This record gives sequence, C-alpha cells and structure tokens, in this order.
Amino acid sequence: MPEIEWWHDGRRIVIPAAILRADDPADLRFHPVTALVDTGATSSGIMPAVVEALDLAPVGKRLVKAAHGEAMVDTFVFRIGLFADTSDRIQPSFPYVFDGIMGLRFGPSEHFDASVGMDILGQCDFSIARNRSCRLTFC
Amino acid sequence: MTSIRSEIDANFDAFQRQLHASLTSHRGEFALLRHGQIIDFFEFPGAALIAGKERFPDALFSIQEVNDEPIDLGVWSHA
Repeated sequence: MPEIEWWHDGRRIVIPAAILRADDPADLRFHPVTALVDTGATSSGIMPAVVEALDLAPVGKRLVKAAHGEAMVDTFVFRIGLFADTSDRIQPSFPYVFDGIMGLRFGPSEHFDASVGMDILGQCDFSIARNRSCRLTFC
Repeated sequence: MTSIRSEIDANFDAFQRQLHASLTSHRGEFALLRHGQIIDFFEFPGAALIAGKERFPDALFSIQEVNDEPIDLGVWSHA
C-alpha cells in the first residue's frame, strides 16, 4: 500500500504533487505543483496557470459556497498525482496517480498552486503528528 | 456555431430542470450532456470525459455531478 510521509512547516500543510490531464489515461505527462492539503474543501483545485499549462477546458459549472455567499464557477476534470519520495523536489519520482476528479479553478496564491481536497483525501488514510510529520496512505 | 461556453450553459439549465428526478437513482454520479440532453451517467468524472471525447469529436458536451449541495471551497472561501 503506497505511503507518503513528509513534514509541514507549522503554518500550513503543503505537499509536492502532479496535475495531469484526464482525457487519456495513457498520457502521463504532468505539471508539478505545490498543493495545499485542505480538509475543508469538498473538491480539489488548481490555479489558472496550471489550467493554461495543461490546456484544460471547462467541462461544466457548479454552485460553490464561500464566505461572501454562493457563486457559480467552472469545473474541470483532471488527475492528481502524489510523490512517494517528497525529499527531491527538483527531480521527483513518478507520482501515484489518482483517477480523474472534477475540480475547480482557484485564484492565484503565493504559497501553493493547487489544493488537495476531500475528493482525494477521502481515498486516503491521513495523519498528522506533533513533530510536524504528515502521512498519507492509499490503495 | 455553438461554443463550449454556450453548450455548458444550456446543458446546465437543462440538467437543473432534471436534477430532482436524477437524484433518486444517480446521486453522486456524473452526467454526460449534449444539446440539453443527458446522454449517460458515469461513476467517475474521468470516464465521463473520455466517453464525451470519444462520442463527440466536436467537444460540444458537458459533465455535471448529480448533486444538489454546493461545494465548500475550504481556504478559498475567504479569498
């Protein structure tokens, strides 16, 4: 069973990840990202630059709930991959790739360029410890 | 010529009108739509996307999750 262990910085939990198109399972080209682990998000998301890099087109739209009320946003189908070895951010190993998900396009952030929401975390065992270690286990 | 944007919008309107009936037997699945019609339901969005690309080379289709609850944005709720 694949397991990923890494450490957070005390402010937020981010993890190296990969974003892949979902329209061809054999297409394993990926765009590397730093992803926020966001247990409060129903769906995973990617920043506009990632949408452009992978030339993703919207496939639908969905009502979302935000602090300022509800709004309609575009949805995208893509795959998320997670790296077993998170120590080498320059030459990462090939990621474990999850099935395609329906995610959102978020505004830019200086700290991360994607978020991993409950659509992915729900497929994993996730733990966090006082020594700042984090662990994800999945099938 | 129909654009993907107008196709998504038209399909969404049609999907919303049928959503209550679809929830009964397809909640949590993903509907593939074209020209205001639900073509098929899929367990996973990736499968719906691949089927859409195969069936409709003009890419005029959309995918909607059969769900009537809004998405929580997590940290982006406050952006």
